[in-house]
Amino acid sequence: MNDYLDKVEAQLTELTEKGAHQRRRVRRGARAGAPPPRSRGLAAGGGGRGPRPRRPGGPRRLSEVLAFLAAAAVVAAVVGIVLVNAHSSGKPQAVSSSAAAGERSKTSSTAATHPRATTTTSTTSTVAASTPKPGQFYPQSFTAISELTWWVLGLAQCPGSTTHGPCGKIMLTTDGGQHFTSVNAPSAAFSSQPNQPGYSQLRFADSENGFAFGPNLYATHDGGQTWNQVTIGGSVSDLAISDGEAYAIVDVSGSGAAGARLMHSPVSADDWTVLGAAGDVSVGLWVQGSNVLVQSGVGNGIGSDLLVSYDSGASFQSYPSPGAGLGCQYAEPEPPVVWAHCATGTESGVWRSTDNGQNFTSAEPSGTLSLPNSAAFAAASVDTAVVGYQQLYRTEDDGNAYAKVGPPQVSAWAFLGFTDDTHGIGLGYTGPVSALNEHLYYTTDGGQSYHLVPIP
Amino acid sequence: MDERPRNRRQWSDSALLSAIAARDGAAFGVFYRRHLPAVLAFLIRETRDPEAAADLAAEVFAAVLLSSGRYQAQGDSATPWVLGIARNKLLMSFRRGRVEARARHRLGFHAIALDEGDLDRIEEVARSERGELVALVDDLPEDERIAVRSRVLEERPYREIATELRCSELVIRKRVSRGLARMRDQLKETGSA
Repeated sequence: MNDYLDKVEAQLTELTEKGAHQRRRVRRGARAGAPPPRSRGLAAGGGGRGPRPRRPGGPRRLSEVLAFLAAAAVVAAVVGIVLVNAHSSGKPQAVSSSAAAGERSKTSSTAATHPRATTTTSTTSTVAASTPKPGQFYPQSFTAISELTWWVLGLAQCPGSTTHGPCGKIMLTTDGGQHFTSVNAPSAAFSSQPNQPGYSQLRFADSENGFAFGPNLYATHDGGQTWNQVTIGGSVSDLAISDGEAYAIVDVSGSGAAGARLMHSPVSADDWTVLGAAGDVSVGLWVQGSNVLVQSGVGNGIGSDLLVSYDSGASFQSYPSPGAGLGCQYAEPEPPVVWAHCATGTESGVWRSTDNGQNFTSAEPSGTLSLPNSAAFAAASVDTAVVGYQQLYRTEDDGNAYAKVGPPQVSAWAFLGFTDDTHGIGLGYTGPVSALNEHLYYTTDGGQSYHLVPIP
Repeated sequence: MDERPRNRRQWSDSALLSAIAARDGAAFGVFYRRHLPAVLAFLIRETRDPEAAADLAAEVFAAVLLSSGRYQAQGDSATPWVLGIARNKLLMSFRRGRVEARARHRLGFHAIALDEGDLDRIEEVARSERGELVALVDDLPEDERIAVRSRVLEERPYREIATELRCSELVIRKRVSRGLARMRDQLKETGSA
């Protein structure tokens, strides 16, 4: 028991016997029921970083080794696994109405009046080699500000070309998907891989202000008539909107900084600043009124903490994440209930909190779901959620029981989302998992049934 | 009444993880030694750097300790689960350009320095285990080899693999299960498990 591997074993064995892995839960449990402290913020970039063991007499620069390996395609795969679940959502903004903004506050949210801007990431399918058919539209990202008004970003053949593509195309409906009209898209490439410049996802805050991103950021303030590229200092992996504010996870590591940071800007202006209280962040962005939820990135990757702000990001509280260092997707349909869908290694799991994320309990019967990490998830309400990859499962009793739902023709689901308790959408594949096999489905009964939405 | 054998080496992974969650240090030791070769072999193969692999292996098993209470058995072996953690830790390290250490920090794990002797041993173990693991995978029948690689290491959905190979998901599941069982048996026979 005297070499490195044995010392690791000895120390972890000792920590096991001391219950080091249980202490956090005890502390967390002790906090249950107590009002969340509002004044304690996290120091920017603080915590989690410590000295790494080095061998004497010539430590190698692991960053060099890892940076070289980072070029491997497998990185794109894992980022996809993490990000495909990391959709975010803000509440819909009922067209520049101050009264509507009041309705979106945390305290006034009710089951009937908490419409949420449902958004989605792009899928991780490789589309670079795929050429859309003329006149066809392949939905990739969805955003809504009400149950009737949606924008769908999709792939289409590039204008004036019969051979090149794909290009991004944005379609707008104001009648719940019965009719669509085309809206200008940014004059940039559709990004089919995380490291390709351009955009892959779409969010709209209201009828005027919207964002296309991933990895670059583009903004419109005239309903999509014109778009401008926004210099934000890094790659945008997620963006969510609430109460007239846009929040983004921006990976600034390429510029030499520590990692991804949480930034925000008024939706009507391109005035992005870092929310330093969050420190390093990673995935799982969700905003609801003045509540901001995001998973930490403290340390060297996806952190084990859920960061929760009750004051629009001015300060954050840190709670243990169900993911224990793996990526989670969060949804807070109505405070204080927070759903979490997290990777656990080889399979994902669903958890639920009734105290704004301070404590989570499993929200799936043992062995029932057995879903891969890339499963899609969405919460319709405090008690109803839908999750699935090849087969959709729906619970309406806080996760105690699940029933199989969904159309049989869908072979796999890339995204699920809800705009309110009953209205939602899903992006599903028919046939092989490919961007060109992706279709938009609509539910009006809280996920019990989904219907194909034809987009011209 | 506990009907498990007294010798923890005879316990299933699931039983060991349950015991670990309940502070059984000896169970952790058995689990660690059972899975370290595969984890180390995987990490060495991916990083080609014994120092990074050793560092990451410690982080993986710290994460195992933290997650032990949430493990849900999906089969006889926790190998896919452990390798899934290893892959996530590895790829997050790639993404950040630094070796993951969050789980160790959370546990209060004290840094351990590596010396040349450690590296020599790790490299030796890595060579043998890597060669053994690669050989084990490569020795699998072709259908099982493809299924194990696709599902366990690449974590692709069963349906996607089935579509690519033009067979049913059930067939792929059986191939993965058979392949893992065959590898586990081989490891036991060679005394590595």
